[in-house]
Amino acid sequence: MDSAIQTSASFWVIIFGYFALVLGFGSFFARYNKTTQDFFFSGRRFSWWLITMSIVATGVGSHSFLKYSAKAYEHGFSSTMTYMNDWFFMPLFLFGWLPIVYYTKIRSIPDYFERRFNPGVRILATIAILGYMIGYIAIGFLTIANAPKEIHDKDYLDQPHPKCAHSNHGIHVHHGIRKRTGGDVGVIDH
Amino acid sequence: MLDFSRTWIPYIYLYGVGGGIFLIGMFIILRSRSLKLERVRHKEWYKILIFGFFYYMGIHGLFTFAAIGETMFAALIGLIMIAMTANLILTLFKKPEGV
Repeated sequence: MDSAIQTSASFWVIIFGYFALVLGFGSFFARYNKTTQDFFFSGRRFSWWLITMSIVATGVGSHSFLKYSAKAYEHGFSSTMTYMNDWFFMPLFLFGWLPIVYYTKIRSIPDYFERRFNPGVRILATIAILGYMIGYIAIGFLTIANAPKEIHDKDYLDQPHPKCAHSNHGIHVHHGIRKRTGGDVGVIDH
Repeated sequence: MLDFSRTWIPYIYLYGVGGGIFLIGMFIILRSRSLKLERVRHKEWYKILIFGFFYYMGIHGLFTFAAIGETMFAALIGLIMIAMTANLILTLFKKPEGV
């Protein structure tokens, strides 16, 4: 049975148009990135609400749309268990973490641990976050690997396919260039 | 037919466990005096935090009731949510006394 998604010329125009647009934004705004302060904090020149939107945009990845839609289709309302409502963490975020980030001007979570404790704790925090990020990024890669499967009706994870390998590498390169050149400005303007 | 395990068990779990986390968070920020209720702006945020919790709980409950065909309950929750939202907006726009 052919379960592949039916594609058309407009489908590919949208896909490549999207990539071109995102890469274009990142490349264009890269000119404003001169320092690490610019790259990570957009030079601290944006309003709080814009930064908030950027944080949300960074947190919601392609896998979110695919995963939660799929779970909702499979399980109905019980799919809401797949994600813990963010509001539960808002008290601690708003009156705990946010004032620390804002007033101390720390650059990262390990930076906070170094200031609060010592450089050794910073290293431990970095290792812990790295472990988390590897898992987090792996989910993103899994999504990228799964998406072409639905389009071409071939399991690229089990049977490496030259077409898929090319396609996945293209997406990785795209993400890399976008983040490398645009930094947080790229994400905000995107 | 959507049975209890697929509708209300996730709801109870989400707002039971999540509600616990929310309460612990509220307790910590109040106890540590990070949130000072005598300050007007802080009091506003205190109300927003509580409103947000019940808003999510309401919207989740509304759609669950709607999905299982209990439209009366769904409508009732909808009305309560509208009243809550109106109350919050009025509270926030009211001229505060103090700092």
